[in-house]
Amino acid sequence: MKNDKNQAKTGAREENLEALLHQVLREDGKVFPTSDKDISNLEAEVDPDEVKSIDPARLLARVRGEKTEEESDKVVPLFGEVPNQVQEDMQAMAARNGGQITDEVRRQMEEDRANAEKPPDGQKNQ
Amino acid sequence: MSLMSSTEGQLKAKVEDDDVSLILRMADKNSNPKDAEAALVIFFSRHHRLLKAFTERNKYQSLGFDPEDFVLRTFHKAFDKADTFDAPPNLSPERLLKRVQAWLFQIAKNEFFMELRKGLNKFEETMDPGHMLSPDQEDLNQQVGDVEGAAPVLTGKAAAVRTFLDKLPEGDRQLLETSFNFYDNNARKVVIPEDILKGLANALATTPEGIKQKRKRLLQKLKEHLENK
Repeated sequence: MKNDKNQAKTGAREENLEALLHQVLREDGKVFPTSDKDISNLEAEVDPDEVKSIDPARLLARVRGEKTEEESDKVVPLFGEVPNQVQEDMQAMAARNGGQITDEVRRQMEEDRANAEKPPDGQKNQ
Repeated sequence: MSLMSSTEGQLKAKVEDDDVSLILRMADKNSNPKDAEAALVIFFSRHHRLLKAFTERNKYQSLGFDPEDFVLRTFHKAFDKADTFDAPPNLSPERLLKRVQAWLFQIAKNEFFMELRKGLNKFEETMDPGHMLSPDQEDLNQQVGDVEGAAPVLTGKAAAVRTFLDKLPEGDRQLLETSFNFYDNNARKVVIPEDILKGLANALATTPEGIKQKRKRLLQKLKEHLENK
């Protein structure tokens, strides 16, 4: 019986403590304001004019389901600027599922390229 | 004041329009999308910085929130839910402004909860309306308790609480302050739903039990701090 009373007292004290803390945090604008008074408290604590504005075009793009330039910019290339040749090589490698070219295949490719670059017979001296 | 479809949709929203007029135009987006978007831009430009200031001030970045993205998401939701705004008739312009701001912050709070839940499990995006606070009801409940001087028992102790909070390490203060977004006015204590608790634990790189224990210890410390005053 005595234990029950003690527990009840402790519970009540904890409730008061949480109520006190909540009240202070509301007054200081530290929790989401939900009432007129909370809003006034928050306005007394912050100066919205000091906050950098967000471009409303970003909101419109979001509402329309479009991607803004700024959002596209957030996709940062992993390796920074990549020269065209390297990029082409990487794409080619991706097409081979990352596989290497064997010496034999490379020799055949070079031969094919050389043949392709040769001018057709009869055009040599024109 | 219940919102009804605006009939003068042809007129374009103007900077000097009051908030209710802008919200009406937003609510009418199906019949006049261009005007609704024009109203949204004005409404956003007028109100977004207070929410951004709040988010930055409370360092929600450390919970994984990008303040700008959070603000944009809130206003997008406000645009979608414009027809849910309601206010009693004959409010003064000042009271009406506060009502609009409280509505926006209630939407933001719901988004905040949703984000924490997403942090729990990206594959289980809960949209359970049971956890969504009704903007107006919660708002009204709180306003009933907002009569001047309604918390006399707290007077005099507030300064000691602030001193205590100021001395806490950043992480502890963040945990304690964030947890009080889940204060239940009826239970008179913080009640964090289990799924949100897990999401919050993920965001703070701890466990749900870790949060509970840490809160308990911090409240005990606060109690001792107040007793020694």
